[in-house]
Amino acid sequence: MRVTNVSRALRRAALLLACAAAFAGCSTGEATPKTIEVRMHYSKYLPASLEVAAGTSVEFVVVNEDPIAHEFIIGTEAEQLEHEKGSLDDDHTGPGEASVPAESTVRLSFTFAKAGPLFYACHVPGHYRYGMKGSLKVI
Amino acid sequence: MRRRLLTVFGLTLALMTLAGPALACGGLLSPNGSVNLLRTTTLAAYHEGIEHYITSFRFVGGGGAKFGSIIPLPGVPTDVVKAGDWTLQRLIREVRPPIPAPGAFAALSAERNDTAKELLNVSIDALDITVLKGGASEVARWATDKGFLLSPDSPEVLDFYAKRSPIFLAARFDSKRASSQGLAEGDGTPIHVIMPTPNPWVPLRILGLGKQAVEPIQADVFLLTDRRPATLPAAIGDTRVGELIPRTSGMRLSRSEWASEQLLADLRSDRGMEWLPAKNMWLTFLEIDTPAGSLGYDLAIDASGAEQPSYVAAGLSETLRQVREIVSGEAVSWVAMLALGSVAGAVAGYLVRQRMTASS
Repeated sequence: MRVTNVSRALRRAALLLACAAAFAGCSTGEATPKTIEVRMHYSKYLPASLEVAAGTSVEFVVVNEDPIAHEFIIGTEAEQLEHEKGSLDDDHTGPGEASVPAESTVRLSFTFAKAGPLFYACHVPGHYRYGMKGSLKVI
Repeated sequence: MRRRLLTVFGLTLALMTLAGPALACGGLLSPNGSVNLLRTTTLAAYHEGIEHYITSFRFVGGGGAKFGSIIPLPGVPTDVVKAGDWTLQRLIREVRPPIPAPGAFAALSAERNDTAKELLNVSIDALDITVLKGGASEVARWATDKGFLLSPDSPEVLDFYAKRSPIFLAARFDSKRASSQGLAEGDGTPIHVIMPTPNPWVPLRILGLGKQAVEPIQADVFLLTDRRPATLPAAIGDTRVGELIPRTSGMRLSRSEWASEQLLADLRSDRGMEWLPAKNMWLTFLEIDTPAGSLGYDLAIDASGAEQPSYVAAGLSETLRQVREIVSGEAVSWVAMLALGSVAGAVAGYLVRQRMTASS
């Protein structure tokens, strides 16, 4: 009798664990984008480096705490240098690009298709040279 | 009288011709960031509780229609007027006498906040001067609304000042007006800011606004005070010893003496300088020469004789707090080590006594 109660309790515990694991799987699954907050303070990004898994969709919440406008532009180092050269036609509205007005918050979604080193940077004149750049490691 | 007029005329002509360094002041705000500031010269004179802050604006380069500069102030000015024509040049001559060329003048000696509140608007030649009251955000918003592109370091620098005094002086150089007034690019316009303050003060960090960390900042700072002042940070050459005063290698004390009556007389003869006493004023000459990245402080001055310049005014209160933390942290660790040592000693003594008791 006592043995039966113990095994029943064990089965219930196993069932509970399985449900918990299933829920946990749902909450970290690929269907829901991961949210990452990036702050802009004194013309620097906080955090200054990020790591995401390849294939992940990320919703960036970009909070500009400064009283001047900034940008949040995702790209390879070569792409960042191209942005820095500055094309007048580039309004920075493509995928992974956002202008962030002074003291405001912008949300930006981006899917990291493949692994590799990326960067996020601001190309308002003088800001990139000032060091407004962060590294984004896609693993 | 005629002789005096001739002297003044001759002095003016000589100074206008021979004055070497270009004059300018403040942190620069520009639409395209292409304007360069040359060496800056400033006089902070202090008498009877009033700071007379005299500087000059001269912009070189660029090509846009508007240039601007911003100076943080320790208080609200009662007036901003055009400074005399030769005060700064005469001071430069005092410390760096020109070597006359043969035959040339050899005989002469989340949500945006509201914009900043405009407290005072004055036009001096081609300069439009506005005294503003507001925090870093408000001042930045005001400048942006006026069409200026702020440099990336401006949020931090404006915050550095606004936390201590929310008063700023913005000077915009209108090149169209300059042209109509016959002013050529590069001409200087001196201004004289009159402010009641408990002690004189000279903003220095603002000179690095918009500069790369390695770019050199060079400035001449003259002080005229009723007695020998104490400054913070202390400069190289400051003979105060035996005190824990933060010193900087980027500032040299090149002159510290009673101003000569001749110098004071020359300065008093300039426009708007009649307030200056005819004697008993201490002249201090400081030369700033440092990379912009190292200029993280202002010049706090104690002219009262108490020799206690303010850490807050120097922008060094955070440094002082960190030093105190380190010192107290070291003290705490020493206390902890002493306590640990005492406990270890007591335990060792107890064990030795136990062993001795057991062996006996």
